[in-house]
Amino acid sequence: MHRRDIFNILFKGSPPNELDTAESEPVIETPAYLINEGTIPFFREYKSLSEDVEVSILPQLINYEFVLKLGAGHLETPDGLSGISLCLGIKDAGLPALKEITLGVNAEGYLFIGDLQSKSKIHYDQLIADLQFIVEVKPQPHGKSYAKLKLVDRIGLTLAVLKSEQFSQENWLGVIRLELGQFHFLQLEGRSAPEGNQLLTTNISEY
Amino acid sequence: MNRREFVRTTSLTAAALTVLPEKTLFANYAGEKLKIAMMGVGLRGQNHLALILKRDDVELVAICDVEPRMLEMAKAMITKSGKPMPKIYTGDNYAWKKMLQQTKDLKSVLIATPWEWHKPMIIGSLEAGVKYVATEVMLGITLQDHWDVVQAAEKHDAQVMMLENVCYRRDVLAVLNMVRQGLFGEITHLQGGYQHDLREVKFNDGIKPYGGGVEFNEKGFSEAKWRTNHSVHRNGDLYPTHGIGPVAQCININRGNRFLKLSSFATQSRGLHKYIVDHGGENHPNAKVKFRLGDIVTTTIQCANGETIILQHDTNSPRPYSLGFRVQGTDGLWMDVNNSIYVEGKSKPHQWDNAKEWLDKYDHPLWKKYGNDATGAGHGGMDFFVIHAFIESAKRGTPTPLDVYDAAAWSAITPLSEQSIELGNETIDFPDFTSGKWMNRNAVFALNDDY
Ligand SMILES: NC(=O)c1ccc[n+]([C@@H]2O[C@H](COP(=O)([O-])OP(=O)(O)OC[C@H]3O[C@@H](n4cnc5c(N)ncnc54)[C@H](O)[C@@H]3O)[C@@H](O)[C@H]2O)c1
Repeated sequence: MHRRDIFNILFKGSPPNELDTAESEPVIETPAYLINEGTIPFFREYKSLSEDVEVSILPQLINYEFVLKLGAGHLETPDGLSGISLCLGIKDAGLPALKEITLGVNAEGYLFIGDLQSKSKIHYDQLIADLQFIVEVKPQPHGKSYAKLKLVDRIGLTLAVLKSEQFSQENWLGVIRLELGQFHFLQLEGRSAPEGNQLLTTNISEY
Repeated sequence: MNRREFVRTTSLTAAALTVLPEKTLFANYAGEKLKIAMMGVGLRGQNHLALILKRDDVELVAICDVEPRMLEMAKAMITKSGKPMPKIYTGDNYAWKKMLQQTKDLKSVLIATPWEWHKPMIIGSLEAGVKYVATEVMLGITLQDHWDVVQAAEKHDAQVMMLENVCYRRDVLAVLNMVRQGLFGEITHLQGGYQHDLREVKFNDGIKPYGGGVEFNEKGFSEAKWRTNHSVHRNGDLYPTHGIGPVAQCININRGNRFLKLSSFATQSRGLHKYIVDHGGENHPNAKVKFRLGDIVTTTIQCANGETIILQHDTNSPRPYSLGFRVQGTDGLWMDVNNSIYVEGKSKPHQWDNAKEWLDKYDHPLWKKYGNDATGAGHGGMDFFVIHAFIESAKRGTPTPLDVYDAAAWSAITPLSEQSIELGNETIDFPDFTSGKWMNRNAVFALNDDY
C-alpha cells in the first residue's frame, strides 16, 4: 500500500495536511427550557385535596418553572409538634413510575425534601403559628430540576430555606397527596402551553 | 473623541488610515522581533493592528478574518504603514486553523473576534504550540469554557492574557496607586460596571458600524452581526470585565483574595425592543424579536477577605457612558461618576475633593513614563498599555501581568450571573480557577513603570 493510501485511510480520505473542520461552530441560543413565549399563565387555588379527583402537577406545568404554595401551620398536637408532609409526583397508570417526592417540615422542626434535610432547626414557637410553605421548581438542563422549599411566617418573614437538585422535572409530574398534617389552601402557579383545553383532560379537583 | 464618534464622523477606510500614529515605537529595535498573528481584524482588531504596526519589535506574520470588508480595511492600514504585508487567511470560519498550522515559529496570537470564537481560538492556538495568546475580553461563554481554557493554559504551560484595557486607564491606575499607598485605609467595598448605551452598536444599517438602522445578525455590520444575538438569548451581566478588572486589582483577587459568591438581578427587558419600534416602526420584522437580556443587570459579589463588589451591566438604555467606579475603604473613597475623592483627615470633613488633584498627584509611574506614547492609542491611551504589557512579556518570556486565572475569574461572572438569574437570583458559589494557588500568589500587576 502506498503511503498516501495509508493516510487516506487514517484521515478518512483527505490528505493529512487538510484540516478537520468537522466540529460544529459555536452557536448562541436560548435553552429550550427557558423559552416560554406564547405560553399562558396558569393559576389554581384548592381548598382541599378531594379523595376521588386529586390535585396534580400537570404535564404542561413541568415544562416551565412553577410554584406551589401551601397555607398551613399550627403544627402542635397534645403530644408536641406534628410536622407536615406533602407527597408529590404520584403517577397514575400510564405514566412511567418515578420516585415520589415528599417534602415539608418534620416533627423535630427541620425542613426536608426527599432525604435532604435543612441544617438549622426552626423554633417551636414559629411552627405553632400560621405558616406558608412555598415550593419553587425551575427546569434545568438535561431534564433536571432545581427546587427550593421556603417556610414563611404570617408577616412574610422567611424562616428557613432548603434547596434540592435531586429530582428531574418529570419527577414532579402527577398527583399531590397530604401524608401528614392539615392545610387551609394550596395554590399552583405556573405557565402552560397555549392549547388550553389540555388542562381539562387532567384530573384536577377544583377549577 | 472615542472610537465610536471617530468612526462615525469619518469614512471607514479613512478612519482606519488616520488612526495610524506618526511615531514608531522601539524604532531600530535590535532584539529578536516577536512574531505575532491576528485572528479577527474587525473594528477592535484594527485598533490593535494600528498599535502593532507602530512597533518595530513586533513582526506581524499573518492575519485572519472572514469578512472581506474588514480585511480590506486592515490591508489598507498595513500598506500605509510601510510594513510588509502579512499572509492573509480567509474563506471560512476555520481558516485560522490553517493559519496556525502553516505559520512557522509563531510565538504569539492576538484574538479580536466575536466572544463565541474566543475559546476555540485560544485552545486551538495553545494546541498548535503558541505560548503567548492575547484575547479580547470574554474568555468563553459557559462556565465549562472557562475551565477548558484554564486547563489548556496549564497543560501547555502557556500564557493566556485577556486584553482588559480599563485596568490601565489613567485614573484607574492612579487610584490603584493610592490604594497601594494606603490612602483609603483597608478596602471594604467596590463598584464598577459597563454602563454604555450600546443601542447604536447592537443595531445598524449593515453598512455603518453605529446606528442608521435597526438591523442585526446577518443584516448587521460589525458587532451588530454577532453581539446583539447574545442579548436575544442570554440574561446576565454579559460584559463584566471592564468593571471588575480594575476593582479586582485593588483587592488582589487571585493573589491573596478571591471571589467567593455572587448573586444577580435583572430588570425587565425594554430598551432594545423600544429602539427597534422607535427607529424601524412596529412593523419592522425585528420588532417581533424577544430579547432576554434585562436592561440593567446588577450583580453583588462577596470576596474571601470580606469585601463586597457591586457590578452593573447597563447597555440598552439612553445614558451617557460611565463605568461607575467606586473604591471605598476605612479611610476614604473614590467615585468616578462625580469625579470625587474623600480622604479622612486630608479632605475637608464631609466634603468631596475634586478627584483631579489627587489623581494628578498619584499618577501611576507607567503613565508618567509612557503617557506621550499612549495618548494616541484608543480608549484614552489605555490600549497602548495592555498591548505593551503583552508584547513585553512575550519578548522576555515572562508571565503576563494579567493571566489566565484573572481572565477566567473576571469573565466567568457572565455565566455565573446567568445561572443566578435563572435560579431566581440564587447566590452562586464562585469556582476557584487557581485551585488553591490564590492563597500564595503575589501581586504582579503594574508594580513599576516597566509594563
Ligand atoms: N476592550 C475593549 O475596549 C473593546 C472594545 C471593542 C470590542 N472589544 C472586543 O473585541 C472583540 C471583537 O469586537 P469588534 O468590535 O472588533 O467586533 P467586529 O464584529 O467589528 O469584529 C470581529 C471580527 O471577527 C471576524 N470573525 C468572526 N468570526 C471569525 C472567524 N471564525 N475567523 C476569523 N475572523 C472571524 C469578523 O469578520 C470581524 O471582522 C469582542 O470580544 C469585543 O467584546 C473590546
